[in-house]
Amino acid sequence: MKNSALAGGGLALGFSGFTKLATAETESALPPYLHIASDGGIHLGVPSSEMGQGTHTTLAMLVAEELEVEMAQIRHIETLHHPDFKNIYLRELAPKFNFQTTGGSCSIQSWHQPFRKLGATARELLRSAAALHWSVPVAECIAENGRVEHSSSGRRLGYGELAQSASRLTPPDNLVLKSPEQFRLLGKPVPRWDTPGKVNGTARFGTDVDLPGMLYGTVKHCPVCGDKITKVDDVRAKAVPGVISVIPLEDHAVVVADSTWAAMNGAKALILKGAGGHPDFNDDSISQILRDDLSKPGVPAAHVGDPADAMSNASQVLEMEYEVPLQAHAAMEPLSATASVTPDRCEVWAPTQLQDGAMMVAMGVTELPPEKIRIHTTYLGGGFGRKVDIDYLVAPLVASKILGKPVKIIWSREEDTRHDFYRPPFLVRMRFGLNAKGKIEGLMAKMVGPSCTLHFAKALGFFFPAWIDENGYDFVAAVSMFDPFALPNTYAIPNLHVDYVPSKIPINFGFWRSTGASHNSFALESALDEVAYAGGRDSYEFRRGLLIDRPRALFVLDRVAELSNWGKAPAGLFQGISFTHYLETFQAQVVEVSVSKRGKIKVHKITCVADCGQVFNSHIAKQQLEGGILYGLTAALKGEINVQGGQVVQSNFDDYPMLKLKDTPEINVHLMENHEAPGGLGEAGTPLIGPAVANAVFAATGKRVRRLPIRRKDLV
Amino acid sequence: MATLEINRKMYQVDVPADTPLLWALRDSLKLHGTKYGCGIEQCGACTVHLNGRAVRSCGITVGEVAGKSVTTIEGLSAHSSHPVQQAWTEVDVPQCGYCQTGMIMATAALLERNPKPSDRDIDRTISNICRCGTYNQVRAAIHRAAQIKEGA
Ligand code: FES
Ligand code: FES
Repeated sequence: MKNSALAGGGLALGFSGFTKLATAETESALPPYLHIASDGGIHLGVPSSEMGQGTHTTLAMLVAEELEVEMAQIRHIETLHHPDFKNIYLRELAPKFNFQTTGGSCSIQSWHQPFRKLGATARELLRSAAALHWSVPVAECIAENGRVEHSSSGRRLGYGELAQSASRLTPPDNLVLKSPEQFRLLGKPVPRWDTPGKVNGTARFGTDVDLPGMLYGTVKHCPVCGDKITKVDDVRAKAVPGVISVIPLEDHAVVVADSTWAAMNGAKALILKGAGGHPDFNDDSISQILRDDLSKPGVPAAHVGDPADAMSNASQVLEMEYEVPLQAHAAMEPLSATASVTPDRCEVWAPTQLQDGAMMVAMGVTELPPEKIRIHTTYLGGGFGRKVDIDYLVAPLVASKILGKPVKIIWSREEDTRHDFYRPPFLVRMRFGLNAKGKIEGLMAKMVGPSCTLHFAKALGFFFPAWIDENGYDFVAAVSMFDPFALPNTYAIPNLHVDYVPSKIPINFGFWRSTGASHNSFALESALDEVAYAGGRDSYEFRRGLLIDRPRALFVLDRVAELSNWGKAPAGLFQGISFTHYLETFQAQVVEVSVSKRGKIKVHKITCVADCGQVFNSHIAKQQLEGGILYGLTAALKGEINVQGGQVVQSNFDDYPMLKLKDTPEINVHLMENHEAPGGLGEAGTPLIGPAVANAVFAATGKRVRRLPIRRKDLV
Repeated sequence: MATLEINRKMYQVDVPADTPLLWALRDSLKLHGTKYGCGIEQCGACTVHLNGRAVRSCGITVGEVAGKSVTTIEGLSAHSSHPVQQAWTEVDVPQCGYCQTGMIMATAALLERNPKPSDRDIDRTISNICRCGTYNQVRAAIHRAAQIKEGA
């Protein structure tokens, strides 16, 4: 795992500060992130971690488009830890949240402009260099396909030949970016840059890091949530051949060996005694906390009109509750990280979604200043929000510091499942006030559940207002329930009030693909279906009425109805529909299901229509929606995480089953084509599929699903 | 010390005979294309070929593969020229990619025994887990690989 190829020799043209040239000094301290070598090869450093969402490819396309090169000329792409790469989008949302992180589905929203400008700046410098070389006007120098051509004489110079002289010029102030009609690459289904390595096995993930003299390790946690280690019995663990060391930390121990297998066997033989936790905690305790909190006053999360008045004047009030349990992330790659710590230097290789968090942990463990620490980001074998947490970085750092050798830690699947930062359990109560015609006049919603953002803020050591407040407001818990972004773009309800009650549950919770939308869309989309049915209305037509003044929303909804043949399901199949404005993307889904007499649900077809504004790679965009849908479908139809005796019950894919190929329905994803500002996609597909399936199940069986995952026993 | 035939070469591996093949491949031989996902033969990320048949290398020991021929993703073809790899590239299947080498190995073995698998055959045979949700692209690529293999 060689360090940055970007920082290596042969720099001909490099950038730091996006449109500023890298100089010799900046190069030594901070690697440039666009580097054109003298042979014309292009090396690119990007802010976002590649975890399957295709961000390396899309960011490279943005540069390649403006730079006028083919994707084949991009020789190297890596995620670079760099001060220029603080997540712009999230920082605007919460100014104190100033981190390099890949989360919230916002890589493209953050970086499409800077990366296009980066490419355009380089292009203009190369054109100017050619113009100087030939002593001709810049206007006559055309950049195309990795070289500059003089229009009248036909003379040509490759970018590699021009790079050196271009690096001595001053970047232009006024950049003109290409117009969409001029795009060669953007918007097209350009093949992923990372596919070759993922097809021949050379792609390097966190678990694949290999350093000379490296030791291998794994972790074992106290099984009971909240327990801290009080006693370690490592006699049998140390007797396992190959085991070198057992290092107890606060709530987990590291077992280091000469191979991963020996370390895992050592961990099995290790006995940890813990105390201070919650051995009596179980599923019922969680339900009880949520239920109790439902009667507490919440923090206002949305307010429109005069909902109290609307409710008291309603001719009919409908009330319903929806609940979701814990879910694990279960990325295919179990948690893993590698560290090499010496007295004056530290390097970390991690499949992280939070480079600055990795830096914080490394500084804390090693007590070295940041300039002596390097954070390298490997490919992630799936992230889904788990790898923004920093818990898994402690073990390799401590072990390497103590043992004086590089240490690679790989968690067992069992530890990964049992010590996740789970999707929090939530209970959502919806109360609708309807007028005599069945129209919604008022809505009172209350969401109850633990705040992931609070957990995250505690791990990082500070608050970031606008996401969370001292009073308990958590944007992430409230997202998609008429949050400030959704409010002007979703169902027009004249009077509404949304409260959030943060629950205290002594388990670790974290961001799980689609975060709060995963409970809020389930509640809202199911509830609207109930209201529509109660008034004898078609669920699509009913939503139409609420979106009539939202042109983009209405378009998506109409299109999904048309493409799915809404209302004309084949015999024996039943449809369900859902809509959301989430991540600044408008989206609607229709599913077709059948339900057997014994309650077995089969999903036959999913139609998804999304308007996420400008699309830069239609293939990747569709992959993301489809992948997100299947992630949500697993959570809607398969397992859940249960707690008994303070311990997570599930441990591996045998007792925490995943959707497989045989369960996968036909999925048709349609993207609206427009040039609106880009919205997010990575998490977009996940929250809508649960309610769409639940609504279809109601159509099929007359049984209303109020809790996910849908259990067979609830349907018979 | 065990002697293993991997990708048509012989290797001496200094691990106990009860070590799962997966860890000998990854830690001793640095063949990292074979992945660890579950360790209990549930996910298929560790799929390799043993005498041409797909096996989950986390569930078979180094001792059990002695005298047999093992192929990993690194030995499937030179330059990704295997029809399954060609099809995978054409359909551009991978997302995170972690499950993909296992998917490819499972598919390559399937096509050896069943050159034109039906959707039902695929459903029954390819039970690998992909958390990124590439299943429909996997299915399309399997059909495409069958075509390529047939010379279409
Ligand atoms: S690691 Fe072998 S089947 Fe999952
Ligand atoms: S591509 Fe990520 S798990 Fe399959």
